[in-house]
Amino acid sequence: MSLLANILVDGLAFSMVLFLIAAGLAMTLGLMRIVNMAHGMFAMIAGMSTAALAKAGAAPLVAALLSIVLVAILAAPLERLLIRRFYQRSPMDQMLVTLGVAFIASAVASALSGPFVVNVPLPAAMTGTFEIMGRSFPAHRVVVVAMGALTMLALYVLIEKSRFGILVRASVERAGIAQSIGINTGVIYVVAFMAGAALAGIGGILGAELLPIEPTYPTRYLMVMLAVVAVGGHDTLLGSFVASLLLGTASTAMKYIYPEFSSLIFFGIMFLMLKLKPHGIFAR
Amino acid sequence: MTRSKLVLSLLLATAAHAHADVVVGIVAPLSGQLAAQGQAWKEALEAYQKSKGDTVAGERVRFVYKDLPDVNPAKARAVAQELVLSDKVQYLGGFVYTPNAVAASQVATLAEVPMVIFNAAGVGINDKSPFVVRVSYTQPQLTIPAATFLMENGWKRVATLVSDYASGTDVEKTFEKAFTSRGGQVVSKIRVPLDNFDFGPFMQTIKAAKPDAIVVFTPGGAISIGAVKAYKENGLDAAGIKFLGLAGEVDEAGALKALGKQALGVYSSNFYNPTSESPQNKEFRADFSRYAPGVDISPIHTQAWEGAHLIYQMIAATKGRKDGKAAMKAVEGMKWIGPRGEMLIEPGTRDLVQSIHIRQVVEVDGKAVNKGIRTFERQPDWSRKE
Repeated sequence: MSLLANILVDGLAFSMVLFLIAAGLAMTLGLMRIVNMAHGMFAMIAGMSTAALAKAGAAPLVAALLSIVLVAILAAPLERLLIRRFYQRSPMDQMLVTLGVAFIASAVASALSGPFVVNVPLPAAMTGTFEIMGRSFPAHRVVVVAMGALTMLALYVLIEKSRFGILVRASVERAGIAQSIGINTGVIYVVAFMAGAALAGIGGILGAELLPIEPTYPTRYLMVMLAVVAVGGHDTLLGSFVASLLLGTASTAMKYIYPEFSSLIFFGIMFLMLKLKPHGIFAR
Repeated sequence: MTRSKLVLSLLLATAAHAHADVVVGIVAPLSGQLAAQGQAWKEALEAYQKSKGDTVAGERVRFVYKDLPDVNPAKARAVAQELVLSDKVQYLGGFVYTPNAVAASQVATLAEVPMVIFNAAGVGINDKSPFVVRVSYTQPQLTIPAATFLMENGWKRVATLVSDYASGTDVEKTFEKAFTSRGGQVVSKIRVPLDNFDFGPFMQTIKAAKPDAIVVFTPGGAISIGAVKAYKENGLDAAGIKFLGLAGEVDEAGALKALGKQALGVYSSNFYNPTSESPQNKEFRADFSRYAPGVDISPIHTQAWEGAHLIYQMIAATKGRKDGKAAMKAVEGMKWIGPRGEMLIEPGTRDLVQSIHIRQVVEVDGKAVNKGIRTFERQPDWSRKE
């Protein structure tokens, strides 16, 4: 297989992992204007819960679905009791408080399950490798690519086309007017936050083969998630999607051509884009 | 604090506490990325005391712990000082990272407190202080036998993949030199940034170079797990390319636990062979299972176990009195057989001459285990020899 084909295939797979772990963050940031540094925490909890449920005998798919529901439920009191008090505060305050939440989550996870990587089980259909054009390819990566594209599509419909999307945007843009015309903004916020957490859970579980679940997860991959959102811009999900493709493919290409520089190119692009397009790829 | 003041306060401190317990200060990562290592040391020291008793020469021995989760020489020096001044320790132990150990060794020298390094594997730490002795290893000690082992098996074309930081690049150079001097050929060298988590592209590049084996150095945990998984998933295993790990790739306390059967077939070079049939190892494992049930015994546990052994010898030799020089004299040239095999504290360097084991992950009773398949006896710190 040629170098170019390798770069495209691996780059696409890597990009979709990036998108899956960052999509929820991009969504809450774009819709709710909240910088949630604790985003990775939901991914970690979902991963750990999947592992625990599977260990207790649940089928991997059932364990994963239950865990995604679980993090969505956990997100509700967090939004009601803590996050909502910070909607009107500065982004710095939001970052500090959510980072604090992430640190607490890491410490609790470490105390409960030890500082180890937990095994998030794969359904049988996702294990093993198969051949595409003469090279072997992990089956779970194919699922990740499909899920990445599917997530993008679902979110697009939800936010841009559905009534829910309109309500959320109205609640955020003009909270007072939204309330005065009878929109229950409190409910809208909590549901949107729960959806973000569920997305994090999906990303955590699906990405676990590449980004192993362990107690330092929430901060370990924070930089990567933030890079995607920073390059993509906080207004459009499509921006984050394209940013994932750009960062993922470029760093994968570098891994083939000049391994030592693969991180440099990742953050180099982030730096350049913030310089040239500080408000995101599609900002006007 | 100036040096003379420090020394003075140390003298006063020790004079005032002539009849207390013998306190041993352990500096270890008890939080953060490497918390598992600190935890393992604690388990091993507790098991050791339960097994061998907590009194030596009529004195009760007590371990106290200080958390040092990362590379931070200034803090290492500070906690060592605090242990000596406030906790009145007679011995220091632990130390994961070389820069921390080097910084703390200044305190060991000034206070004449023997310092037993459990892990830090950097070359030449012992030269920094006559009060430093090591029960760990040096990286060349693991790397050189690995090169010999590959050649013995006729695996002459090898690719290297190392994490891109000082220890990794050192390993890459040491290995290449040793391997080419034995007639081998390094066909591909890859340095992976430490924040990388997708090893797929690197494995594809290596696969294309068609080596007989790939030699890997990664710092353990999630990174090592990623490397082993990518090796399997990208079909290098199926293509007959062997995987030999020189660090945490299939460590019992970390990566192997998570990888399980995914790690089958992987080779590693290490100072401990869990499947050794020697009476010393059997006794060690039996003791450990009795006093720390449910713990997966790893090489890390043997570090603290042997460290405690050394400290007990020093306490016995000085009858519990604080006499750093006499304690050091007692262990220089000391020879014993432990769970890891024959051990010698080399006179002069105070580094360990020990057996190095090549292990392979096999399935035993449904569990992935590192089985020893080749032992290199009496390996010195090769960095001083080659």
